[in-house]
Amino acid sequence: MPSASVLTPYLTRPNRTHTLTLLTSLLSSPSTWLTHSLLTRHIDDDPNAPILLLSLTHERAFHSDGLRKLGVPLQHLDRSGKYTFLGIADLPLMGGGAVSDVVLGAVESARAAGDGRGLLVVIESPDILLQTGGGSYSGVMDLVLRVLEVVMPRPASYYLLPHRLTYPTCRMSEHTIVSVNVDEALMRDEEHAAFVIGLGHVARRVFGLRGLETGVARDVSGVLRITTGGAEEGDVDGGKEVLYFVGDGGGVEVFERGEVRGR
Amino acid sequence: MPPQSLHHRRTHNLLLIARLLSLRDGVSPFTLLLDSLSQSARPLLREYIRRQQSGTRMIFVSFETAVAPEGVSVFIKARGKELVELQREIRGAVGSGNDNGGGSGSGTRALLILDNLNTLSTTHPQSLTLFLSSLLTPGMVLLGVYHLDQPVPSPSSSSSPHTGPQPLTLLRYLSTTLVTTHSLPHVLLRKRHKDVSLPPPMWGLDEGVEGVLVGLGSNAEMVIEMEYRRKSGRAVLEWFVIGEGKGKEGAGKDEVILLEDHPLWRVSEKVRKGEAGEQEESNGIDGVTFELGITERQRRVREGVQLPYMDAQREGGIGGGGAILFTPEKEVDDFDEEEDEI
Repeated sequence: MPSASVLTPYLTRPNRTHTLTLLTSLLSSPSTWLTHSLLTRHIDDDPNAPILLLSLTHERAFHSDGLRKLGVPLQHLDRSGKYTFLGIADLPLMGGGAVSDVVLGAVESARAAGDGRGLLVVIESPDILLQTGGGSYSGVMDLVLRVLEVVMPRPASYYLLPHRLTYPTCRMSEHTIVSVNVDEALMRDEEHAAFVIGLGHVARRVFGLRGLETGVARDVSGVLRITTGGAEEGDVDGGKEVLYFVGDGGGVEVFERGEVRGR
Repeated sequence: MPPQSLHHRRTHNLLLIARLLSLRDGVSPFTLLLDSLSQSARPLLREYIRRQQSGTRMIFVSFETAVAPEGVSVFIKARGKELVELQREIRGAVGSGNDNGGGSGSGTRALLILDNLNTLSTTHPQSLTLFLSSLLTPGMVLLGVYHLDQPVPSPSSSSSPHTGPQPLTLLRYLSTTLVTTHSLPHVLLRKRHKDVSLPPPMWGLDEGVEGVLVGLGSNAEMVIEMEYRRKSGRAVLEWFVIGEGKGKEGAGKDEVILLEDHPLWRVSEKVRKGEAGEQEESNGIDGVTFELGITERQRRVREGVQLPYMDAQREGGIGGGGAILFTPEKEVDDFDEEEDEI
């Protein structure tokens, strides 16, 4: 766990369900550490909630290592069937709609394993599907949105709501974390830009990672900007920018600009 | 444009926005909400839903919303559906409302909300407007959201490039009210820059910084830029702040004020406002280097001035109506009585 007192209030799980948190990264400023921080916090809050991690950029071992360093009892989770990992090798990338079938099937079974507890779905770099021909912009967008929706047990199609809204009782918040790459070269691609911006409109919070404007520094890895997304209701603030530093061992420090750090 | 008194404009436009938000008497059959990552239109949609009369049927067609907002009567998931199918579902939703509505038939009002028109613009650039017009039946009010910053990739499958106007252009043309959303901190900062002739600041993708998607200060308090098109063709333009006083306990959440009346906007506006006010009193005659009118303070001071000989002018005063009073003074009026006799 990074000694991230600055970041802590932003890592807490939202109290509404079916929310999307968007992480944007650059090739030079990867977002894995933030994904792991969010995951760790989530597991700390509810150790029995099921988790599905879909990564198109990393292997299972990479994430297991990173999470173990943060003190997550991953073996325990794995043994109880609460932790599901899907790598790029598990996806039939050549087929058209098959990818979403596999993913949605995994989401369904992960939710079933959770005994009614809220499921957390983490999707790392779904934008790769756009580049590899795994789907068009609307196809991949549809996949992410359906993951958001599958989480809730609801009759399909449309339904008439009674006068008072009564949701199926799910006290645990279900939540989706999506990380995408926003390198300038990629954003020039209309499909990619439409996908990323579309996610921004659906997200409740956007964590944007980028390099330092003043160039590379020895003790600062980059800038983290936290802003309110389009779907946030209630507590809104103007956003915040902090600096972060990823050490050799993978430990992360988050601090304010100009803050004096004890070394 | 002739200087219209602010008071008059305020009364008129606040009434207009109240009517537009509650969509009373079919004031605007198709309202197009243009939003961006800087300020989402979702809070505005909630405001619209909240302000509807109780009898209104609210149909929410979702392209990107996972959970139905509170107060919505019918929630239709539209992604991946063909237009014909979608049309049928919407018709069905409207129709079932009329059946349950207690025989009033066409008297039932329906509000149809489309939360993302970009998706339809991508998949059906040609038939989008036709689809929307087909939904616009009497008693139906349409509310559509278009994300200005989300590009609309042209479908690569079609062999011939689409040569018609952009879907957004058509939507702008079709709509009877255009509402563009802004974030209050952004509007204020842009104004501050303009006041001192600095280039306007940019946010989000326009910042030009790689890796920045959303600007700081986004999705805070909402400012809307309204363009209401009257039947005559004349457009009414106005800026409003919506939900001012949201944080305060007890204060009405629905408060809508003109942007010009917002305390933070007025801070730097005061000086200019004062000048404009004085010019208005001088009947707006331009081209004179001096002030023709007077300010309120000057007027009050003038009232208070004691003019000489006021007593004499009073009816039945000292002299009694025009008689000449003469009191000789010893030193000055030195008459020699003997001279008179000669």
